[in-house]
Amino acid sequence: MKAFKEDRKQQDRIAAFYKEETTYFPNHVLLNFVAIFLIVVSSMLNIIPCLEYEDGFIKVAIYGCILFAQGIFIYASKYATFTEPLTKKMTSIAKLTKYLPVNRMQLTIFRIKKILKPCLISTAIVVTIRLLISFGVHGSATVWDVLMPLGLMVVWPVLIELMRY
Amino acid sequence: MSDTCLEFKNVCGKSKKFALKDVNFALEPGYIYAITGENGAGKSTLMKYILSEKILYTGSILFEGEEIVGRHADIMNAIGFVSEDNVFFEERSAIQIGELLGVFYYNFDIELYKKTLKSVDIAENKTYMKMSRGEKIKMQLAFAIAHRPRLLLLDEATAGLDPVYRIEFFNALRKLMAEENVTVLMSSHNMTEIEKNTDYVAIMKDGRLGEFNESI
Repeated sequence: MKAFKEDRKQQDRIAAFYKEETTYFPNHVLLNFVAIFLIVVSSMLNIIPCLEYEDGFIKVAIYGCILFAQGIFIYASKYATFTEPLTKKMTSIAKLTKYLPVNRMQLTIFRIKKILKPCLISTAIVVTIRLLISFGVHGSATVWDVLMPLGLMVVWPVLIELMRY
Repeated sequence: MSDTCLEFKNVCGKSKKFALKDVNFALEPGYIYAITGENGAGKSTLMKYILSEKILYTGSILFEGEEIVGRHADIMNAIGFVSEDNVFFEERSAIQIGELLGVFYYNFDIELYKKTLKSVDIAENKTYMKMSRGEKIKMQLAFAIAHRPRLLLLDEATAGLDPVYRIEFFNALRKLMAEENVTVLMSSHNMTEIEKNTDYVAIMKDGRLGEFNESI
């Protein structure tokens, strides 16, 4: 489990690297835009409460979760790969830093920390609206209105990032 | 502080395809050591065992008397690596590469990097992709030196370089060694180059390494 431990010094160096790096890569703006667009759209699809699923809304919720994971994946991509501005050649940051004083796990931890904030904010908004709709329409809600967004909008994206490691 | 810079003790590879077989040696600080052998003999594999974050071997690899396992980041702070396998930003200039990747080292000296680039005749604003192979290797050497490594690993760094570049490369290396207390471990299959420019040489064949002997 030692490998999963955060190394403060390495995290600071990774942060310093990305601070420098973003000054050179304007394509991050496009990636950010696409990612935020997908996160917002998918969050809107995810607000349907579980009690509505028997009416066929489950498909919409599944699409919402897939789009959300895709959005988060794109958002995290700028921390996983870099694209050369002219040739558009893509290289993984892990490959670039293979012989540098940074552990791959620290890069993964850095990416996970970066995605946690949008994941948690979106999940909090989705859960709140879900519960409001559910109580407003049905007068009750299920525990899945909290667990499902938490699992699919926080745990799943984090697992995807761990798999990239 | 250990008397040895790098030590291999009964190192055997784990890979079923190709692996080192019972490699043992110890390098004293301040010398240039060379490993020679045919292509596929295991020279690059040996360096990968030192540099890889994954443990690819059984036995012990000690850097300055301490096991390297679980210390990848610390070890990479103390080792400079020059190889064609190294990946850099293709469309960035030499100085941008230094500024971007230097942040990973706790002791990267950008002024030393600039000074070394100048001494090996590499323009600071020259893009990496526009550099010749020789220039790329010299830029890598400057980058490796800038964090003041105690061990330099040169994996076929001089292969394919023209004689003028080779002379310049070794001149730059000797000059840097005189200024900094660096140990060099290089791989090459050019015997003439090894005899002229290194202190000790060992031959590698089929994953086995012979003893280091003084270069003639």
